[in-house]
Amino acid sequence: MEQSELLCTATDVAYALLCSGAEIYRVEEAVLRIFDAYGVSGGSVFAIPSLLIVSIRHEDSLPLTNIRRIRENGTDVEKIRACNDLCRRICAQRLSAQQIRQELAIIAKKPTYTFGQILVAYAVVAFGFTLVFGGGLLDAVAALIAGAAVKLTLHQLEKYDTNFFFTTILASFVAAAVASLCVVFGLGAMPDKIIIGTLMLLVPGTALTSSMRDIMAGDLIAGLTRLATALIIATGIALGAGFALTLLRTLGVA
Amino acid sequence: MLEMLYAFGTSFIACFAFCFILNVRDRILFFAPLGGALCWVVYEFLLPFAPMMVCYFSATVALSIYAELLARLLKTPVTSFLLIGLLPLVPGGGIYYTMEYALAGEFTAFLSKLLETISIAGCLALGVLVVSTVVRFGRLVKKHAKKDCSHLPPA
Repeated sequence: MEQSELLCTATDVAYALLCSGAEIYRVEEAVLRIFDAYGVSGGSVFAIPSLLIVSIRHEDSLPLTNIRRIRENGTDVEKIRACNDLCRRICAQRLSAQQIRQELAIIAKKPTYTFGQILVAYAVVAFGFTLVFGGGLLDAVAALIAGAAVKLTLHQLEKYDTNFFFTTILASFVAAAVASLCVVFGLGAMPDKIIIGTLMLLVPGTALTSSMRDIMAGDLIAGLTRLATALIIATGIALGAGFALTLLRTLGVA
Repeated sequence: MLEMLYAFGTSFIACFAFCFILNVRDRILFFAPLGGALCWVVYEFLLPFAPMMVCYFSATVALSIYAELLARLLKTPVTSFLLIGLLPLVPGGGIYYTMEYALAGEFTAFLSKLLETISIAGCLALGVLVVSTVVRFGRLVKKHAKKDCSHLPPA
């Protein structure tokens, strides 16, 4: 495979992994393994959640560099699995650039669950965790509503280019407000359990886990970035719920 | 016993639903929430016998071992199981009560809960770290023993 093609291919695979929330070491190893499979030893890669830099230099030729900026980090477990699998196959079978592009296109087109399914999922997560943390059945039903409200809020906010801190505050506000109002209207008796169950939708479990795995692997910049993200989200959750409860209590509602 | 079953069932439902948010597919839809439910039961089971931090740590270690085992069995990245499975342990309640104490002006309780929440997060992190380090060390040992260049890292 030609050098620039190899560079672009490796970058594309790594980019797909990074956008789906893979660990930094997985992204960087993917690039190096692909280079290795095609016999290129002068490759370099650097990745953090918001930036990917890949460079290739084969023997006496000039080095080529490709950089990709990542604006939005989602988590897509299936895409991570598929890209990881593709990377293995690239190394095992030495696929052509054309084939790799086709495979990547297939992966990119893979559907996520529909909005309706995810809406129900949000509701059920809140429902489940309310029960886990000691809420009653009515509390859990209230959490269904609160969980769905959170997803609707997040969905609406996607249309605007807001930062994740603000989004978290707003979503947490909605969660606490809806949960408290449900209790006011007689659905459920333990507003704190409902709120906690619903807030589990927002807690930065993925950021915390990924940050630890990155730090463990030696990728301190990425690890600390993700850790900061986790802390900011946690603060946003506290602030949002705090605003909602203060507001409702001041109004004499909750 | 019944409480354990209840804890298992409810945490399984919650984690299962969460799989849809992270676009988990196929068999992992069953095994990832299973990990979450298992680690939550480990935590609840140990809670009467050990300090809270030890319980969180142990539950995380249990989950990480489960995740590493299943990653190899199902040929899937470890994160598939960790991201879903760790969710019940993340201290959402801690964040909420920290905030409540701050709102109520109870400064000591706020600080205490804040430190507790941070410590729990730290225990989770330690649990993940410890198992990952052991696994990586094991892989390195195997690599040197094989003296082979085609060391494709496992999923």
